[in-house]
Amino acid sequence: MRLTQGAFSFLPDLTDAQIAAQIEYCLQQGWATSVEYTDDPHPRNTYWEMFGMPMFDMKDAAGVLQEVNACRHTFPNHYVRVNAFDATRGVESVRLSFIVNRPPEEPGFGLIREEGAGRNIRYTLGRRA
Amino acid sequence: MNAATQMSLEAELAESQVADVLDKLDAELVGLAPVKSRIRDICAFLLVDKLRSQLNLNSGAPSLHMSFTGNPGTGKTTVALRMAEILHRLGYVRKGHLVAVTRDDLVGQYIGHTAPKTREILKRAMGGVLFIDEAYYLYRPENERDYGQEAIEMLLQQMEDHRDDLVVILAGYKDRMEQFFRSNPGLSSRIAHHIDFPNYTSAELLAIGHLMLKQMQYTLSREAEAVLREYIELRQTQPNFSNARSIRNALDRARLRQATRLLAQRDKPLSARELMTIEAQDIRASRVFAQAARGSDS
Amino acid sequence: MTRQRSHGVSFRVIAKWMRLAGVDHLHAGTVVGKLEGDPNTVQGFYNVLREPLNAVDPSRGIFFEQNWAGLNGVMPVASGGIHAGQMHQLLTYLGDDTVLQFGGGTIGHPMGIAAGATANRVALEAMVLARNEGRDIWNEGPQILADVARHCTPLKAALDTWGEVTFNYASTDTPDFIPTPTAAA
Repeated sequence: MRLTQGAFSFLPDLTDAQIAAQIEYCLQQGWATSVEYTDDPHPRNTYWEMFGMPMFDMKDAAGVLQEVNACRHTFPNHYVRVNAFDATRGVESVRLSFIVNRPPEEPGFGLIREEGAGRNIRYTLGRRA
Repeated sequence: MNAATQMSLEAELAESQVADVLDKLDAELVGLAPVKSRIRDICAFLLVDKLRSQLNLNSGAPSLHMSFTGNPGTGKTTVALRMAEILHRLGYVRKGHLVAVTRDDLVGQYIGHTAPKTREILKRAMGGVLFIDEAYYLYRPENERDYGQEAIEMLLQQMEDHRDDLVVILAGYKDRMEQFFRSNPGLSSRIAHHIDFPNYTSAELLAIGHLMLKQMQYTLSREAEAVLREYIELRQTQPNFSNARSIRNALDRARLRQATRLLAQRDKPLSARELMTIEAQDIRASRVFAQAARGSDS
Repeated sequence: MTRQRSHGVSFRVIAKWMRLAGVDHLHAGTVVGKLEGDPNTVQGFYNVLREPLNAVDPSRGIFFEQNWAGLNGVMPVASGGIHAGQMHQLLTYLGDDTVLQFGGGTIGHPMGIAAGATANRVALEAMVLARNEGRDIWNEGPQILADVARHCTPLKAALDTWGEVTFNYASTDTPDFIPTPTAAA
């Protein structure tokens, strides 16, 4: 079950060339890029671990791609994503965020039901075994 | 070469617009004849290489890493900047920005400090040119706790793996660079072009002085010009001579003395001409003449 | 006043009021959907809602320079008869900060509602991917969609069902400004 978080998650995995093209677009727009990884795919897990500092002064995508590949090499079985942050006044938020690496197996989620008082059912997401 | 390929070289040259960067190089940098001719050679080679690859002739990515050797103030950093622009126009470097560093930007002070520092610099330089000044300071064999070797190894790795993404230019004194290359054959083998920057002649230094004054919108009186010529001859023999940089410093000091002289006569009205002219006494007051006189006395 | 010239309030004015009032979303037109909309006028509405500074742009209906002084923008909503086959036009006309609402274009999908949603999402992602790479999505749009549809059955079904659907009729929206050729031009 492919995790569908972030941009381009419904498309087939991006090739290195496609990733570089997206990063190039972000640099042209003047956005700062950063690489993050996590092993917890829960939808409410917003804050992933940072891999190195956000890169503000980059001129070329090859440098960022080096960081991406270093992260993928270090954590081949984690989810790795690239974030692009727009620092202009009034925006100051992440503009583009896409997953660049997935673990070889993605078990997905299951629904966990819990019956409470008065036959109320409470639902929560849990990892499938 | 048939007519078709002849046309294409012409077209390539025009398209890359390298010609006006080369012309600007000629106009703005005085002297440096061997350097300029070497750069033209490199340009010609890269243009032909581009054409060859278009015709699917086997060329392989040319190695573009360079080493600039010469005394301080001979124009190494300036030429490196122009080199970045030239390589960008010829299409061998994607973005054409220059990242200029010295040893302190690459080497850390404790274990584990060097790798991230060097990695950051390399990342920023990708797609452009990395200029390392006084490169021989990276290698300090006498101190076994020195982390420069780690930086050199990372540099070697990067120069080999990312030949299409990065051009490295090392710079420094000639003899020390030669020693540095002897102790690091891996580095030396990756450098394709060794360019030596000769010291400027007195006439060239005078021309540089004129160029600087024109940029700053000052002129020399005729006597001042003769004094400047004398100054240059004397200064060259004295220690710590930094070629063009010494000329700039001398002119800055002359401007200070001109300002003091004009302030002393502040009751008189001043014209633009007087504000712009540097007189002989502004240069004559320099320590260089006093030192030379003492030297000839003893 | 946008269409019926003799009375009423222009939608541009309503859009400005909504922004001043702090509204979050406002339906502002689709250009290519089932409702009327002249491209320039609609882009004018979107600019009024989103930009931090509106420059004078008479062809889009903005006659006065307006500095919004950091006032939060309004998210424009494009809703009404749009479908996945129009994604290249939607992205070109309406830009990035938009809410695209596909009602009929999701629920009326022959393979079901979930498939409809998937088709729309895949079409949008493919179009944004191509636009970021620098491709000309206006002209290559249909080809891009067809290429992606080869790997995505819901999108293929969506394009087969609605691919030919367009709403081409003369708009009753007339622009407020027609550039008059001057002697200098």
